[in-house]
Amino acid sequence: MARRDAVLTLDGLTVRYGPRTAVANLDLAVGRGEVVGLLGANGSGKSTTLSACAGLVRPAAGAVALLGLSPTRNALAYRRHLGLVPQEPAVYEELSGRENLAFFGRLYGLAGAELKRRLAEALHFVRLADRADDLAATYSGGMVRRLNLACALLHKPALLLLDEPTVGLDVASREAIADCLALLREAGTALLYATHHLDEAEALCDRLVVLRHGRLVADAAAGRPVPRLDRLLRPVAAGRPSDA
Amino acid sequence: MTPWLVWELARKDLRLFLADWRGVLLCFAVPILLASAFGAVFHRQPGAETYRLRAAVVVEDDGPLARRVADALVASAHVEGRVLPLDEARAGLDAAASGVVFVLPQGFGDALRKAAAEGTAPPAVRILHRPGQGLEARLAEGLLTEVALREAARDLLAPLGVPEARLERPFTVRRESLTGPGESAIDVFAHSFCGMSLQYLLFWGMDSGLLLLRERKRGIWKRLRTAPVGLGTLLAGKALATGLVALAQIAVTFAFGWLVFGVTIGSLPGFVVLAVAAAGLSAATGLVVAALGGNEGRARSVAILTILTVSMLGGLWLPLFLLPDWVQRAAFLLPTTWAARGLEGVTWQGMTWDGAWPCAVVVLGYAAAFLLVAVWCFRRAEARAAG
Repeated sequence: MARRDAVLTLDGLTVRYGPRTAVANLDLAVGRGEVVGLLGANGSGKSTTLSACAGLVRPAAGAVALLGLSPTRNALAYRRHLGLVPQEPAVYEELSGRENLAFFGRLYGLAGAELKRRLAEALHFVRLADRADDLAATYSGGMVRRLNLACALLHKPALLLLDEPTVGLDVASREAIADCLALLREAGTALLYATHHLDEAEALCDRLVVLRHGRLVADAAAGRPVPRLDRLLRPVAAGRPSDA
Repeated sequence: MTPWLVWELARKDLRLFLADWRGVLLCFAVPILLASAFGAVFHRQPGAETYRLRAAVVVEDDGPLARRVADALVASAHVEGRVLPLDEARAGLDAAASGVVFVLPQGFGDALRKAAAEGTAPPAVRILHRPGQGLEARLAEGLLTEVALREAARDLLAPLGVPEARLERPFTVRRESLTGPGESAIDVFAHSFCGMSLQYLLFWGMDSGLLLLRERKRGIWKRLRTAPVGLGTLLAGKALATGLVALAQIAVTFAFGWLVFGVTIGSLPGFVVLAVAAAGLSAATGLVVAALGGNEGRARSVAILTILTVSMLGGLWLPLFLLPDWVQRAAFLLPTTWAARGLEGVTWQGMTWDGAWPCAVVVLGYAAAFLLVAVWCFRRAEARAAG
């Protein structure tokens, strides 16, 4: 895919926390309808990369662009095209599923009949229509994760960032989320999916990108062998400097 | 900043607040209970016996003038006491049975008469008191002065045929509080409702700030910060929700005070503007707690200590005039002092709009300063997180 057609581009992305370099010189492009799996052990830089793509972390060097927009210079416009599914469920347990969705929808400027239509679509999409008016506090873990996903989809973002959205879920719930993501890919949404489950990434993603110590160490189409992949996904040694 | 987005964010916080009805109940009941308890503890029925000095009188002089002075002291309407030997009087003082002991020394009567008539050296009377009861000792000194001068004058003037009645105080006194005639120097319930409402508003602000602090540690803050909503809008929404609940608290608390304890509002416009200012201070306090608190436990401890201190020094517990001079001077640097001054003014001290709005402006000024500090800290924290 040509970088000029990409929804998301990272050019030499470098993120530092004080003296520590969390992500070093990362180049990446994600196209429309493409699912890119961001693989790596804990501490490899996956979450930092997602944070930089979400505009929550400012790069020390390099650039992030979403549909040509900068997360710093065009912050509000950038965010309109972005959906984030954080690792921990980011919903209000004291509100119902419908109220959660309505609140986040209004933040994106949705209102009236359009908001109602999107709510119905999103609830149907994540299979929560029958529990929409129950408090989120009464949902199972899988239902909360699906609501978490729905909150990020309501405004139909061009790019969806997913930070290990299936952590701690049973097989059935993981499959339900995987089905949703497959439908999103068909609808043309670009997905950047951080996980450390290789099997899940291979089943869902078109392309696998492997990070280690904040550096890109492999970028291959899913299903194609990645040399020494098992070794690359081993936990990063604690205290090892990641700066190069 | 988009007003309707601010309202959406505030509306969400209000729904979260109302979702816990037990919490809502406590939020409104606690200031009422605190104010009622404070008021009940310090309240005296109108016309009830005022303070009487508990005293013992030791008479070491056998003369008639000393005896008459002692009897007059014991018979005074302002004294509850009796004549005792020195050792018993001291034991009573040690046991807190009395607050002061007058010791009229040997030769007191003669020396008093000569000092009054000829200007010779006056007798030295000792007034013993418990540690920390200097105020009682001063009251005792005033009473002794009145009684001793009257009895000495009677001795001197009786031979001249001056009638007894002429020796009584040749004037009358009518005490009036600022709000009208009467004995009461302070409307205890009104003071309690003003003070405890303000204190609880700060605690409500703190709670709201801690909630925001908790939110910031969760993924929900990431989701909010990746929505097309500026930081200023997010904080304004939080402040609006906190301020609206604070306003409701003031309304409910004072409505209860009016219905049950007769707390009245003299200047309604003044009260409204001060209530809005106090609600703004509560909201700004919440944002400062959220901005400066590193973690929830530390933020809670520091906030409680700070709120209790500014409440006490600002005259929310006891009226400011009862506090030492240096505290009264320093207290004018605190927003609580201005809020209490205004609210107490418009409720029971006869303050009009002209007196109320400057107090409200000072409180709003503090609120604005707190908001600026909070926004600056939030921006700095985000900039640091962003490398």
